[in-house]
Amino acid sequence: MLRSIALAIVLMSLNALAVGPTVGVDVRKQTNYGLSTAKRANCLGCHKWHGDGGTGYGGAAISLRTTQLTREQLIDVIKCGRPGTNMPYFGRHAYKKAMCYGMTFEDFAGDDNNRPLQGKKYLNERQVNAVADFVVTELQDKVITKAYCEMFFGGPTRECELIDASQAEAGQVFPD
Amino acid sequence: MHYELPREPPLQSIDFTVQGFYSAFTERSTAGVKMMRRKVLSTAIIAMAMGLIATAQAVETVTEWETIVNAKKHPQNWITHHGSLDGQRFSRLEQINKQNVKDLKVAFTHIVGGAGGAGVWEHAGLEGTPLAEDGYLYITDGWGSVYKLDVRQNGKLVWKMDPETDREWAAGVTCCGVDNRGVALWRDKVISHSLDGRLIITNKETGEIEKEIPVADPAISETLTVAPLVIKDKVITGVSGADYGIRGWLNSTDLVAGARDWRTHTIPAPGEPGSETWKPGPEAHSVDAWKHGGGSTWVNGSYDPDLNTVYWGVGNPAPDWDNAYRPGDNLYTNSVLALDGDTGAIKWHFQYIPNDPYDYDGVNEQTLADANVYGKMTKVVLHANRNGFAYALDRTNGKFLWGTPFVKKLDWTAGLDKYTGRPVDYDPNSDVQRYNPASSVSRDQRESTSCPGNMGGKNWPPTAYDPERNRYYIPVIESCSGHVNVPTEEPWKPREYFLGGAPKMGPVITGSVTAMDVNTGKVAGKYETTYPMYGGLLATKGGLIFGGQPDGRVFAIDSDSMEELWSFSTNTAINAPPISFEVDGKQYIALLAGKGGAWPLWFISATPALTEMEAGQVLFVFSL
Repeated sequence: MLRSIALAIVLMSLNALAVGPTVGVDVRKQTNYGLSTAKRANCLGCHKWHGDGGTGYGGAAISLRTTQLTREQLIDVIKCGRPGTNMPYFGRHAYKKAMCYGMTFEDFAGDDNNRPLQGKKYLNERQVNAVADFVVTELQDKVITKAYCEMFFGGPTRECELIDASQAEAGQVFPD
Repeated sequence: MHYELPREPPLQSIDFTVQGFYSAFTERSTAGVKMMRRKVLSTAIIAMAMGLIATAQAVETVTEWETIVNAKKHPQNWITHHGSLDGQRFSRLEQINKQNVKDLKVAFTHIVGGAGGAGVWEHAGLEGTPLAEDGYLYITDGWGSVYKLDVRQNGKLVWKMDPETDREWAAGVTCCGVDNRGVALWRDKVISHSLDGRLIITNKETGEIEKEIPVADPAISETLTVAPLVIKDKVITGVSGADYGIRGWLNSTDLVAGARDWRTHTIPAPGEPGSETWKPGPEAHSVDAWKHGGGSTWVNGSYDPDLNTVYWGVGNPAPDWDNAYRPGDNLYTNSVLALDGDTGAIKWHFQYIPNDPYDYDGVNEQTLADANVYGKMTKVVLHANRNGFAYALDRTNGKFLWGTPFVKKLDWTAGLDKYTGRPVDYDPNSDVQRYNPASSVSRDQRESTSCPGNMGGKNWPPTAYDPERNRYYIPVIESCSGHVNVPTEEPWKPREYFLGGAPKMGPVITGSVTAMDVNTGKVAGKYETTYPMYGGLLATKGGLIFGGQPDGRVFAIDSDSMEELWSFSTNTAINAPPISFEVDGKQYIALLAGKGGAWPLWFISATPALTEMEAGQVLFVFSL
């Protein structure tokens, strides 16, 4: 129980922190790599193509548009996941060493409902950084736009036609 | 072989082509088809001069309704989705049997296309049941392309029909993978569905699309993954999309007229019988809950020609995990419907779980058998639910006969009432059910864990019934998993999930093949599997049960002892059921292998050993 409470405090404190994005040298290249990696790792299956999260078959995912996590905190969460939720870990060495919230798999022995969940595939450092940069540059604190939609789908689609620019300009993250 | 001449010659000329015979509703006619028509016409004229036998050979096999009804008399073919209209998936071929199955080997393979993804789906999957008719196989890929293969030529492609599915549009509102579960045969046509909502009539000989009929609308989150069910000259289509808040239906299309015949909604409108089971919840917008009440029908139903009754399972209510939003029993979700085969009128219903808070569904297939139950010959309908219970009902009236857990662990209810079949913890004085409160979520208890989890129990991969042993074989997901409630504070939005919560991963999930004795309603045996059973089953007269595992292993087990007699590793995930057929005196076992469905995206954490499994799409065909 104490372990769970300590973990909850750590995770809650992650949510409470807010710092702006850090962007690499070649933003477009890094964004494209981050998006393609996020697709392959199924980040956007749960957080949705628009990144605004919500309920879904993958779990009740947080919005990557309103999250206040810093780039470094995003990297930590991508590597380590969030035990007790459906957010999986993508770091190959997560919980094998005490690199994730100071905990290892042994700390979750017998606690199947809160065990760290393995992601769809492991991501290396470059991929984790690219996904974090993609979130910071394209999603965080941004409204959804047709340009983003077409970038996600690789071109114009009927889905993108639904996006009402006026609503987006009015500051609504996702149109009704 | 089954050759028949057209019964009514066209008005203007003697056109022996199948294209010509049904061209009254042909919308597409290409130069290629015309050339084919001329070619076959000239062939027919020559054949006429040579005599009637030669004439008959110029015509493609026509799948008559009489043949479909009597499919059991033609065990060399597998011409409907479940092998026969009763849904038994039992092959009467016995060349491959307990003694020789150890010698089963790959006869041929066929690499299937259509593996590409769209939107959040990295790849499509293969969940289809192949059909086999007179030496040809008809298979589909996840995007609804149909492939005709020639068994005598090592599975060589005869033609491919690509419906050019609007991929991003459809994939944006599919909860559980890019899937298509197969085709139906009708006369000289192949009937299929596309994910983006079309019913497609294809010429069986040429592969040309003859007509497309819009049936479902992805703009309101309706998609089609189900195989069509042909009844006489009509075809029934079921719909997917409850998790996006559709109002479910079954739709009958008149294939001759090329137009809708009837549509029966699975959620009654205000004033219709059952509408009293949809009451407003706390939110003002919940007054319209019935409009978005779910009740999908995405698993192929069964048909009893003697009773002229269609049996079809209905899926979960929406929002799935927020049953306080939709007080009442929520008919006809989580139910089996018995419908008039001509009109679609509901004759009776049986609801497995009223006001479901678990996403347990009732959509799984319905298997019809004339079987001994408690020693008395009875017309039963069998069903294995995601909730972990197998049910036997009297299919003439819906009366509950027995209900037995087929999973190793079940904790969401203390049991079923032995007279009504309802969960004993159903509270008739409450509009919002909790069943075992420790296992279900509510607005006061936002997280819980139940056994089975929301995937089951048993999901869509079909069961098999062996009439000689009176045994019902179930592909089982031995699972426990979590549920999360998120109150439905916002009204329904088109093309957005309408779940009222989410599943949450719990312990690692395994599986089994479980045999039920239909006479006693008791579990007769279990074959344990490392992974959940996410491909369906086939029972054969050879005393074998065939199935596959998501790690690629195909197996045959003894129908009596449940011991494994043979296995083969395809090295790509099995997510589809096997069939059996015969060509030129040789029996074959065929199944599609290809990772897809809901598991790779949403539930892979429950089977971590499968994480590195790559997607691949292959048809495997085995013989001695």
